[in-house]
Amino acid sequence: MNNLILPLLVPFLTMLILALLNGYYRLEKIIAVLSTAGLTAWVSWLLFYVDANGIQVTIIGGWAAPWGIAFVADRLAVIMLALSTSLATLVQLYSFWTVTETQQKYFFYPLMQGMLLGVNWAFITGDVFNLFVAYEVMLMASYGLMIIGASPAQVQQTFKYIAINSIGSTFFVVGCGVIYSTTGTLNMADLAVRTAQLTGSQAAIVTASSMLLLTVFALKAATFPLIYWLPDAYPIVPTGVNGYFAGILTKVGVYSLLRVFVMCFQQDGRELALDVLLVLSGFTMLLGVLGAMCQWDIRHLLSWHIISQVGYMVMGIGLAGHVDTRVVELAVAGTILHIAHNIIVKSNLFLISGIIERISGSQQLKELGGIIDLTPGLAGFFLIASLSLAGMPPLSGFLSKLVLTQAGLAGESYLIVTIAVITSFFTLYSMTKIWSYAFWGEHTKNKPILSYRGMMLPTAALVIFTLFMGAWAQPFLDLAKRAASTIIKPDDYIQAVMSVKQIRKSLHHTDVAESTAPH
Amino acid sequence: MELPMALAIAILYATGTYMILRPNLLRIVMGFGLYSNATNLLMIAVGGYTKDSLAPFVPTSDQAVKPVLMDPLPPDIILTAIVISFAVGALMLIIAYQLYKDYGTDNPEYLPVEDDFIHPEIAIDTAVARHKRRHPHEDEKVHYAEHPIVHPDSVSPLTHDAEQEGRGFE
Repeated sequence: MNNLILPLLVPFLTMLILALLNGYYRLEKIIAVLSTAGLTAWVSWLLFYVDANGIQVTIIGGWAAPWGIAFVADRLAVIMLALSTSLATLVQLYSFWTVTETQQKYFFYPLMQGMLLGVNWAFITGDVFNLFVAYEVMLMASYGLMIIGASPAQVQQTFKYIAINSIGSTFFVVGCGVIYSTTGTLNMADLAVRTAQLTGSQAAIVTASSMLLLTVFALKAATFPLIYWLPDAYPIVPTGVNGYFAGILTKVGVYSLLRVFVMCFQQDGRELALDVLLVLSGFTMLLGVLGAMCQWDIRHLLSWHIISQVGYMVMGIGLAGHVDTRVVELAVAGTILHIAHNIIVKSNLFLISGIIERISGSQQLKELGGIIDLTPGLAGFFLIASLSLAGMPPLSGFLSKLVLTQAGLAGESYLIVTIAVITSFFTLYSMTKIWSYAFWGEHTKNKPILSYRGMMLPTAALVIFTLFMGAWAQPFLDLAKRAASTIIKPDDYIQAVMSVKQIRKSLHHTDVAESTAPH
Repeated sequence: MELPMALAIAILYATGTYMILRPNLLRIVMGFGLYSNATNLLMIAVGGYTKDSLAPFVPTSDQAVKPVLMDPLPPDIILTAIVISFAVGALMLIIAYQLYKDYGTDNPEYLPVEDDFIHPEIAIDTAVARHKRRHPHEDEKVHYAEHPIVHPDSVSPLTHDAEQEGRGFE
C-alpha cells in the first residue's frame, strides 16, 4: 500500500485549486469541506487497516530506508491524522458562518488547507529533518491565518509569534545538524537503532544535542518556561479557525516530543530529558491554570487552559523515563488519550466561545450573562465540554486523567500526581467562572443576536465524541495501549521501515559502464 | 578548517543575538537573518568539509585513487533551510513595516501590551508609566505625543476594524 502520500497530496492540491478559485466564495467553502471530509473518511479506514495489519511505510524517491525519506503510518501517527483531518472538517464547516468575504479574499481556505498539509506531514513523516520542514509549512500557514485582516493587534501579535518561532526553527536545524554529525542519520527508525548502540561520551553528546530539540518541541507545545507567547497569540486568531489552532498546533509539539524522545532516542542517559520534562510538566500545569483563573476574557482564559492541559500530556511523557515497562506503557497510553481528549474538548470550547460572541457580541465575562435562557442547548454543550476538561466522570477527560494518575502512582511520582489533582480542581473552578458569569444571570445587552444555529452542528459532533469516548472507554484505552507499545519498543517500527525494498536500481560503476556501452 | 569555521559561527550567533535584543524591529529581522546564516555554516561544518573532498557524483571513468566524497545530506538541508528562512524573513519584513504604519514606531517597547487591549481606558497611563519606568532619565516630551495608541480619542486596537479604513494587505 504505497499511498501514504495522500494525506499531504489532498490538502496540497485543494490548496492550489482554492487559491485559483479566489472570488467564488460559496464554491470555495464547499470544495474545502468536501475534500477534507473525503480525506477524513480515507484516514479513518487507514486507522482500522493499520490497527489490523501493522505499520505501513512509503519511501519517497524509491531509495531504501536510511537514505530515502520515509513516511510511516503506525498507530499513533494514524490516530493523530484521524483527529487532525476530522477536526479540520468540522472547523471548516463551522467557518461557513464565521468567515467573512474579506477573509476569504485573503486566502482563508487555502491557508487552512496549507496548515492541514503541514500538520499531517508532521504526523506521518519518519525523518527528523522532514519534521522541521513540516513545522515550517504549518507555521507559515498559521502566520497567514493569524494576521488575516491585519488589524493592528493582529499585526503586533503575529510579529511576536513569528519571532519566537524563528528562534525555535534555528534551534531545530542546529539540533538536527549536531545529531546528524554524531549518529550519521536523521531517519527516525535508523536513529532508534544507532542511538541504542551508543555509550559513554557519544551518548552524552546525543543527549546534550537532544536538549536543543527538546527546547523546540517544548516551545511549540507551550511547556514551561516557554509558555508566554501562547496567551498573547491565540486570542487574536479569527473565530472558528482558533478552534483548530487550540486543538492541534500545540499537540504537534507534544506528538514530536513523544515520537522523538520516547521512540528515537534510545541511548544511555536518555532518561535525563524525560526527567526534565517531568519537572517542567508540573510547572506547566500549575502556572497554566493559575493564569487561567485570573482572566476575565473567555479566549484568554481558554488559551491559558491550553498550557495547563499540555502539562498533563508532558507529565505522561516524563513518566516514560521510569524503569518499569508497565508504568511506561500506562503513561504513554495516558498521554495519547489525553491528546485525543484535549484536541476534541479544547477546540470545542473555542468554537463555543465563538458562538457566545455571536449571541452577546462580547468575550468579556463581566459583560455577559443569561445565555442559558437564550440557548439552553449551547449551555448544555458548554457544560459537557467544560466538565470533561476538568476531568469529571463519565466524560473523556476522566478517562485520560485516570490513566495518567494510575501511571504516576505506579511510578511513585506522588508530587506530580498531587499537582495534577490540584490542577484539576482549579480547572473546575475557572470553568465554573465562565459558567456563572456567561450562562447564569440576566441578559443585559440588547444587541441583535446573529444567526448561530448552523454553528451548533460541529459543536454537537464534538460533544457527542466526548460523551462517546467517556462512556465507551475500553476500545479507546486498548487502542491507546497498542499505540503506546509500538512507541516504547520500536522493534516493529524499525522492522517495517528497514524492510522496504529499494525500487531504484543502485548506481555502481559497473552499471554506468554498462548503460553507456553500445549493445 | 574547523577553527575559522567555528569562529565565524560564533561571531554570527553573537551578533545575531545582539541584534535581536535591540529595541528595533528592523534589527530583529536582521538578527534572524544572521542566525540562519550561522546555522547554515554550522551545517557545512557538520558535514565534515575539507579542501580535498569532492562533490558526491559517481565518476564515470575508473579512477586509480578513490576520491574523498563530501556528504551530500548537509548541503541538502542547508538549501531547504535557506529557502525557508528567506520566506520567513520576507514575511517578517512586511509585518515590521505594517507595524510601523499602524503604530508610528519601530521600537517594540512603545507597542501596547496585552492589558492595554483589555482595558483601553487605563492603557494611556500604563503605556506612559511603563515607558518612564524603563527610561527614567529620558526627556519627557518624546515619542508619546503623536502616538496613535496613547491618544485619548483612539479606539481600542482590539475593536479597531481594519476594513473600515480600507486597509488590509495592500
